Amino acid sequence: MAAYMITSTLRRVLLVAKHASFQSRCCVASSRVQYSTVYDSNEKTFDKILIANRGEIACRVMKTCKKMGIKTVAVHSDVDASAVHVKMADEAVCVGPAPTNKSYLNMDAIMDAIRKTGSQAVHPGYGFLSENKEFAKRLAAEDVVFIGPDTHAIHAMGDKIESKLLAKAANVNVIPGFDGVVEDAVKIAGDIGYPVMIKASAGGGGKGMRIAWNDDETREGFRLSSQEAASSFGDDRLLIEKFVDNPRHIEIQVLADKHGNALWLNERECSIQRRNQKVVEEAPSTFLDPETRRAMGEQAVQLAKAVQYSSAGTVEFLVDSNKNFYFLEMNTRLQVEHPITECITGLDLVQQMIRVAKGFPLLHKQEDIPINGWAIESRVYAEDPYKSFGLPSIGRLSQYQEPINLPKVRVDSGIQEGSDISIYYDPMISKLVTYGATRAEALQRMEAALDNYVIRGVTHNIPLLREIITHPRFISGDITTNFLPEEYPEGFKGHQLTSEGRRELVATAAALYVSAQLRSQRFLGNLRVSTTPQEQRQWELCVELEKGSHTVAVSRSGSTFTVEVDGVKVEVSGEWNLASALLPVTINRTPRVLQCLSRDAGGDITLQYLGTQFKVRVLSQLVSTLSAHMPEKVPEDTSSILRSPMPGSVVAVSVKPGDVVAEGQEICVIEAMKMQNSLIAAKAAKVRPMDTPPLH
Amino acid sequence: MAAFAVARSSCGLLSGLKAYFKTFRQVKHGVASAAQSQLQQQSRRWYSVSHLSVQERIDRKRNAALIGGGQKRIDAQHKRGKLTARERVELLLDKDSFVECDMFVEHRCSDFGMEEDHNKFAGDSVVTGQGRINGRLVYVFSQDFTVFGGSLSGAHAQKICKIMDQAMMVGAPVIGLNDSGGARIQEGVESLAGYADIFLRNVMASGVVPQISLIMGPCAGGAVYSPALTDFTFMVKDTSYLFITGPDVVKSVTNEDVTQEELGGAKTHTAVSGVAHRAFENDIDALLNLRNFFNFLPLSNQDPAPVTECHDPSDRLVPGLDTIVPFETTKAYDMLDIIQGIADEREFFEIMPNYAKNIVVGFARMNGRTVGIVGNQPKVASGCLDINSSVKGARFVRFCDAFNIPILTFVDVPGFLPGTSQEYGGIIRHGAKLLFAFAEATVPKITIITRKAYGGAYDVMSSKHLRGDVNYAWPSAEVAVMGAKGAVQIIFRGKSNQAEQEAEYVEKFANPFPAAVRGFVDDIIVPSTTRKRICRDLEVLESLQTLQTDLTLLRRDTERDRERETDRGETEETQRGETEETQRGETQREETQREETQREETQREETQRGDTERGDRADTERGDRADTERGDRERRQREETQREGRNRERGETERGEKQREGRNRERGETERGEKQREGRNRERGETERGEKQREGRHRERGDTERGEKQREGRHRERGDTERGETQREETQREETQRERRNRERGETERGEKQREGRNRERGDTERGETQREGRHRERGDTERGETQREGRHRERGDTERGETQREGRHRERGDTERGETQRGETQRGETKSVSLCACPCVCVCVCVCVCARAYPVV
Repeated sequence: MAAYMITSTLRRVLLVAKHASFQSRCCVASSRVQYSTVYDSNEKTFDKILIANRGEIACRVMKTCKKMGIKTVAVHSDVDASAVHVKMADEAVCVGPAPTNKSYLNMDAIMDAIRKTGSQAVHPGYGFLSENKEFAKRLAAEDVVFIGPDTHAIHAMGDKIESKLLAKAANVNVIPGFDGVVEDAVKIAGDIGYPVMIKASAGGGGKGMRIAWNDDETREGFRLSSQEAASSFGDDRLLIEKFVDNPRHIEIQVLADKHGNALWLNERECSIQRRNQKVVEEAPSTFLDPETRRAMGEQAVQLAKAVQYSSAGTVEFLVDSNKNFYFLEMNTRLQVEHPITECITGLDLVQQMIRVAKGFPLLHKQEDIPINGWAIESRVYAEDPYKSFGLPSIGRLSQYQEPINLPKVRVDSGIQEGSDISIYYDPMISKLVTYGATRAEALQRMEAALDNYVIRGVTHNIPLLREIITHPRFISGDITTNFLPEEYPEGFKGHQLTSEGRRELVATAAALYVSAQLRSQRFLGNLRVSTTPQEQRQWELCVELEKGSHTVAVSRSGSTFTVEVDGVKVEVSGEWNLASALLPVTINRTPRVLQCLSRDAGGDITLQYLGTQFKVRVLSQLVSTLSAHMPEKVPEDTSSILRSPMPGSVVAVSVKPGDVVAEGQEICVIEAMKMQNSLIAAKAAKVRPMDTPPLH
Repeated sequence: MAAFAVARSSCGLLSGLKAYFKTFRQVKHGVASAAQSQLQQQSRRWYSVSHLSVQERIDRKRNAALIGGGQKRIDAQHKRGKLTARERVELLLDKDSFVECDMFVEHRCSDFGMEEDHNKFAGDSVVTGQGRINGRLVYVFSQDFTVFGGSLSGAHAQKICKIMDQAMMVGAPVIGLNDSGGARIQEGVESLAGYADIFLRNVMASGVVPQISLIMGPCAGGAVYSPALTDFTFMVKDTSYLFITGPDVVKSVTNEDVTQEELGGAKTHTAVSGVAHRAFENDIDALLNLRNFFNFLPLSNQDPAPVTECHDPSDRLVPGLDTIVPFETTKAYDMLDIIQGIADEREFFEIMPNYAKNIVVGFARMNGRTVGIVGNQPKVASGCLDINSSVKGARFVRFCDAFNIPILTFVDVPGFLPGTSQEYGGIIRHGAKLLFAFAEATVPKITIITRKAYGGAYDVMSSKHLRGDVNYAWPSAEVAVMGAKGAVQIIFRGKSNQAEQEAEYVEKFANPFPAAVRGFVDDIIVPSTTRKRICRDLEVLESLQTLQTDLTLLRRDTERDRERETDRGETEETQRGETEETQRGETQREETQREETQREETQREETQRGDTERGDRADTERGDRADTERGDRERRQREETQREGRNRERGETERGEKQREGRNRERGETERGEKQREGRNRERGETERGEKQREGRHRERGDTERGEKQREGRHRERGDTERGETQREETQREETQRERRNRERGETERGEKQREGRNRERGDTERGETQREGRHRERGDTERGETQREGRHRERGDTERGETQREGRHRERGDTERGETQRGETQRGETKSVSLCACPCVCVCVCVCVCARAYPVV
């Protein structure tokens, strides 16, 4: 790798001297982006590529296409007509209405779009048609290149049952489980022994995947998983396997060409998951030693070679505490978390996929593949982390600002300010990647990046992300896929303030309140009746935070506030730009970035501090005293009301009018963003006649 | 209340209950507590004890005033989740800024034992005074429920009237914190008279200074009209009620069972009736929000919209707006997203957020300057205009116009809501209010068509044709008579290829080009640049209002100040004397006439022309008066001179004029326009039309300098008055006017008319009146009426100003009668009668439901 980099640098220098225009194309990531790949325009690949995907990954692929000088075609649904990926593409074709099975999964429409635009190849991204062998076949029939593995590899690896058999044959370690299509789930589960995992045979990404600890849960899980599998992948077959407790989820990125070369591009640690969906990933893993890494890499390459794999793929392993690893599945596509591999290896995986698809051999040798530094990826989702670590939320991004001005931060996103997060698609906002020479450095940058990430209008999971990356156990590297439920058995509650943190927060809120008060007295222009200047220098305030109340004295000199919180002095200084979404302040000489989410006349201030949003109430002493007289408003009793936690469509109603339901009984199932959620009764009750019949 | 009061007074006779009233014990307030123990020891007659020094008596009285109805009732008030009158004032105003007035006033009732000492409370049942909110002047009254349930006595009303008069004089807003059980029955008609006095002030002040009511307790019967007449009515959830008659009376009259909350609670009035503009959680929340709201308002119609320090860059792009309008024209989006996107710091104070939600109105700031925003809300009823939304929009627009607040309009309107309920409800009449409001508004008007602008609703929504200053369209705009489908069905009725025709129609009309090629929109802009464009335009349009801005005024003021100082003292004396005289008998018109006489014959001639033009009405009217008037004029002249000293009037006149002018004169000539045009007009010969007419009018009115100035200028617009007018007018009015210049001009005219020095504004009134003649005649009566009142109030001519302005602007706001005034006086009549009948009932019901509960002892 080193040699390669040197040559590429040399070449670049020479080229820069020669033609500036060429240089722009082979531009390589500066200090900010981590690709060290050179985009060689003499290597002819395709003229035009259609990207059969949306959002972040479509944008990601287009970026590389642009660098390679390839024209791009976007497909989109009605509601995505003004999406970022559509604007970014050279051409765009509408392929149908919002629901994915009528647009992004609509092969007929996409084939039409390919013909209409004369695209020579299709990049499927991940999800949607990326692992659909039918689609690959249809493309092959029309002589359009599918940028991904061959049909037989998709077929072999796409079916989890078959892939396991293949893996076994290729001498890859596998987990005990039921090999075959599940007919009688309960019996099979009993044979394997609980706990078992039920998952969609065709699935991936945690969709249609459930863990069952007993017969009832097996029946329930089987039903929901098969429905989800049907709606997500159009294939409701399931498989059941032994559920390995306390595992780590580590995957190996492989890259193979059509000439029998295959490389492993190191591992990614993806153990931080919620509901079997990854939240934080990093590369490399803190857990693997070089031997294990090599062993895993070699097994992965063996498997790839066994199916004559070409293109980029990922072999997922479960690793137990003794560093035993078991093959889980192989993803025959570009993974969501591929950027961290790109960061540490310097390769552009999309470019490699395109080259391989065109038939070029790999330029790299296994020994060229380095581990340069450390990269961490946080998946920023529009979801509420306080509800089972993340229930999707929807809305319009009224304000949106990515922290890309920070060094060594990469944000892959497919949205912008004003975009809608709708119920139709995955609620991912972006992938936030930070990179550093060491893990600590990367983590520190991640903290800063999360603090500087402005998202308004939807609930997002930044509080959770920031808590994870600053969690001592995470920092020590001692993680498993059960990290979240283990650390937050009661559910995630946000950042827990230390007494010092509390003081900092209270002091900042008080200072913000005072600067807002001061500004509201500043009128510009000449006034007929002069205003009385207020020469106040001292403020006696009372700050309420999480049911606690603090006596605060604030004094100001310039833009620095000295805030005495319950007798302890805190110095807060900053610019106090009240219009800015970010509030950079220095608290006792420690620079911090807070965000002010709302500020109202009643003294209520919502601040995002260390990732978590805190509601603070700043009151003058007078108001605070008089508040005692204000009647407490009793919140509405909601136990008799069952509210959907998110907008979605009703896929099943489990009760009939007249039924008596017990507390905890399922009432109906809501599907939103490809997830099925059952709504349960909060207390025993009788079902009254329903207005709307259940939809199917 | 009545019941309570009766019970209360009668119990005064019962010695057994005396103890109750004497209990001023355990005052918790620091200041008051010292006095408390002394008070207790005192006999009931402590205040008249002669061996106390005056200073001691003063101190005692003050201390007594501070605790209102006593600690027990303060505790009861707190228990109900309400604050006391003084606590509220303290919260509302800046620290230590409250300057109380009339702390020593006591009620004057001597019936039913009310004359007894223990039934007298220093300050009676209201706290009044002035103070500052964020450093800016405001007048406040706060009714004290702990004293006779906050019931309104003659003295109580007098106190309120006093500060309202002063507020109008000085030009500062009035905030009323209402918490009153109703009329004080023991006082009988005196109490009713008090209500009416306040109503009158409300009406007079309307359009002159912003008036805000915050309902913080019961407010029933006659009392409800005062809040209804003010510009903004806010309520406190769960503890405040507004109704004509309480639930008990409702039950006995209509046999309808209804709770207080359902009948007149905050929810009812903010969502169903539209009486209240917004509701807040509790007393504290309401007062703090009111402070915040206050920062949006100018102090009076003489002040420009306030500009605060702004941290939000005026050239900020708002990328979210580029994608906000959905591709399908039938799909809704939230207009609030657009408004918040462009406003400074996303801050938008929405007025009536829960009523007629298909239109959004409220205040925001653009680069620090207050703007009023009106937007159709596609999310509710497609954003169509119906009766409620028209009325809501109209009232808001008129407020903005009256107080120099630029108006931004965001248009996405599919038309007026069709149907019998709308037609029967008079959508035509109510829709016209909105049309009228936009058309007459002379403040900077910027309009952005975001999507649909169909049919008559396009015209109404601040279109270019209604003097929109800057009108933009977004690329998604469709300005057409109607949507494609409907249009094609009409044009090609019965023909087969409708789909094709529809496509053609869409191609032709469903885009901003038809309007843009005709210049009906000034530009088609990229949505994300909207904020930038608006800020830039506002900066330019600000010059329209520069005349009003203080820079000019200040300079003049300083000059005048010097002059004034010398003659002030005298003036004031003279004024009073004169004013009173003038007030009587002399109607405003007369004054005008007098003024004319003064000004020389030349002017008279003009006037005559003018009169002829207007109609004989004026003549007839004047005929009689004229003689009297002249005599009066002389006096007035003096007065005027004195007043002139003050100059302030000018400011008012200017606006007033603008407003009137706006209306009266051909609107096209808006003030701004006028200013510019003036220059031109004179040349062109507009002078002939416009001026003659105007002059005509003005002269009559008292062509006083101002009048002239105004007319001329109407032309010059307000500020120009002195200078501008003098110069221009000179020709016309010439030196006479100048001589007096300031004094006589504005003042004389108006002043005379108005009687007082301040009245200057009256000048406007006169004009306004002349113009309205129709109205005037009626008013004529009013004027006399006023004069009489003035006698009382002396408030000099504020009334006049107020009236002119109000009439002009508000009439329609129409909730009030004003609007209707224009249409018919009948309406006024009605309103009056309503309040008359209502009052007695009110008292009864309120007392029963509110006070009885509040005072279980009784």
